[in-house]
Amino acid sequence: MSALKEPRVTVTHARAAPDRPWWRLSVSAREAIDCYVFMAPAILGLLLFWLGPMLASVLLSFTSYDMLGSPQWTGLENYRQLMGDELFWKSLRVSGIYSLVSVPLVLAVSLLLAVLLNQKIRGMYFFRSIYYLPTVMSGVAVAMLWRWMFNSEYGVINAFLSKIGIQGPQWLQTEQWALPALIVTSLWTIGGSILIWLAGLQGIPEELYESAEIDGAGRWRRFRHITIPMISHVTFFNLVLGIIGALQVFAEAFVLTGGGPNNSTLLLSLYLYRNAFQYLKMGYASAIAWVMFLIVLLLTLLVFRSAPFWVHYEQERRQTR
Amino acid sequence: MQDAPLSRRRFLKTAAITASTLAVTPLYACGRSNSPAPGGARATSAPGEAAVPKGELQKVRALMWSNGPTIDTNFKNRVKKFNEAHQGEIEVNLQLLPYDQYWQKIQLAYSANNPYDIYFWDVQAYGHYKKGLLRDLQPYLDGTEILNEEKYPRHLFDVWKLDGAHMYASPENLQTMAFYYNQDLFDKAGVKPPDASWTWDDVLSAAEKLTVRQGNKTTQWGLDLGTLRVWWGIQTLSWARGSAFFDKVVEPTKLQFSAPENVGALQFAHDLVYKHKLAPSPSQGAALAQDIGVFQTGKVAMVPEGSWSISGFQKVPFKWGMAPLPKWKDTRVVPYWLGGWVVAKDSKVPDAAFELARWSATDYQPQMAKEHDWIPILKSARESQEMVSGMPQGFKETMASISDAKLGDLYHRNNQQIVAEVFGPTLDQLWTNKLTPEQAAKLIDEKGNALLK
Repeated sequence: MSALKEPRVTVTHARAAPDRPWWRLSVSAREAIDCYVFMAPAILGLLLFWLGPMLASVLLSFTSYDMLGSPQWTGLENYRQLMGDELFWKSLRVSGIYSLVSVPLVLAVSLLLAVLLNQKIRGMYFFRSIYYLPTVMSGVAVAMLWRWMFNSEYGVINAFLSKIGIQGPQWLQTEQWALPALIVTSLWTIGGSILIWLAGLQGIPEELYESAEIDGAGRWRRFRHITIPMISHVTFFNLVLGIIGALQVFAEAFVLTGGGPNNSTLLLSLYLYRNAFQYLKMGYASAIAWVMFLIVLLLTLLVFRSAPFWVHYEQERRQTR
Repeated sequence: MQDAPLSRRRFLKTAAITASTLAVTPLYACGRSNSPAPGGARATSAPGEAAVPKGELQKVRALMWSNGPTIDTNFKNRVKKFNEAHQGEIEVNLQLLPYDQYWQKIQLAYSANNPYDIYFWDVQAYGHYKKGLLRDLQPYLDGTEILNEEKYPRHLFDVWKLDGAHMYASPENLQTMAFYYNQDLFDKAGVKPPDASWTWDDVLSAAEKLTVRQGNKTTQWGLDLGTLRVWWGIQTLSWARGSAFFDKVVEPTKLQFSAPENVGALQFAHDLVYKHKLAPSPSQGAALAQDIGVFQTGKVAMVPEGSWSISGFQKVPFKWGMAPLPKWKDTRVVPYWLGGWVVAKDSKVPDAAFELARWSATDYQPQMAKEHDWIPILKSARESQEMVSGMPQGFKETMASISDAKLGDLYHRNNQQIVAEVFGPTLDQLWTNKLTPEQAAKLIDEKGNALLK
């Protein structure tokens, strides 16, 4: 934390002296209350609307349930069936490839844009709004837009490629290009992570750059040795949310390809949807949902475990000082 | 910052874990479910034993899926007319839902012990019959003229005798497949357009004359495979050659795509694209048109499509006509589908609910003919001036071909999965030339037969 803020903390401490009236809460108590108030909507929503169905879906995953009769207890049968289900493994592979490519891609592109949007030039608010705009536009409408952009004959993407002498592929109609096309669409909604990156970038004290410059560090070294470590906690946050988001993608694939051609874009979420709402196999779909949850949980924990090796916090720095 | 009760790291950790917990799609499962009757058990109730006493207003909950603004409005007007005609006795409350929510809603309503009294049939309702949830409508239908062979194509209704003897759904409309052509392109090429006498050989030779190529690029196609790409479309060629894709429509036990007649049917359609190059491949078609069919672009001379395409074609900027599906040698078998209603066994107002089905299939038929959205089952309405006027040339002949049609469906509890996971993707690979007809047939038989068990 910069030296600027230190005195302010001291002042608040002075105000919250032990001889305050009984109705005045201490700073820490007030902060705690603020914290809980801000968290309340999410936590109440979770407890009221999500927890019940989630617990029900755990139980349902051990049953055969078509919403017509009562669920029939089948023990681990759904999970056993999943292990031998060719399409489940295929969808796992599709989701895996999608996440493996789209998460780093989105992180890199959004960081690049955030750095550009952090420059001090005129009209920057305009550019920031422009780059954030796609995030607020709805999934299905945007997917329809992408369908036209990917049109092999009249689409803007292939028109551009042909200008530079490349014969563009049949994006959504061929097995080898449909998934890459979906990955490209994931770049549409990077506004959210750009915003978080920006906040992180603006929290880096200017004097760090100044002193590095005096020490003779060039642009790249300043980026590599100051910016990257100083925003590592933001990288961490974006990475975790990115992984979760990538494994959840649904609307774009549902509209653009519906999982085809020949299941080459059958993401796990699409396969879950098919089983739940097309075949009405609620037990089996619940089992898929829980396997999906375990994968997300495992990956998230893995990232958390790796954090001490690459994520730097201000408090730690202060402690080691 | 030092005395903040929650460190930033702990906050981030909590936030991320909360987010990952929220990430899992929850599956809502609510409502207590009723215990179903043994599979396929027949409801023995007869007309007249309604729970709501006679003389009181009978309120009926009806459900139908949405078919776009025009047909939806027609449906609402129909119910309004019905309610006016039954004022003081029956009041139908019709809900329209998008198709992808339709079956969930019905099953949730069953699950909550509050089923819809009457809803529109599709293959999924066969599963409801299997669970013993549907009312046997035979006693109701027996007392109506719907089973009068002189007025209605009664023999086509037999497929709805799901237990072999009793009908569990009440029909009201028909659909079939037809062969559409672009009259302007035929006139320009000086070729006589298709009629009821055409065979697939005639199609082939006309398509040769109608396909226009510039260098190695085709600018006008002789035909498009249209619904021949769908399993029930290509099955018409199998039927005409004396076979079928499975042994029976209700509860099939075996798929037989690998039979020589069936591989031959697949081969014929495949050749139109990859050997004769008279029809576009899926990617050539997708490049030609998106969101509309390729026929509507005016760059395709012929296409086999469902009879429901008529209203969509009304807006194209060229002259077009229709004919019955072409014959294979001298045999033609067209598919048909029935539209109609099923009544929940546990409905408290079954008589009133059935009255909507009966009225739709009788009194309402002339109006259905006028509206041109569905094809009436009542012969006099189907052949009426109202029905034919404004319809393309060849409509009457196409309708006449229904008389010996076969049902283009498959009634099995795994129907949805067989179609979405086996037929669809495998045929996709055939039409994109990734599989040969033999390979595709073998794959479908292997995977499909596993799902029939």
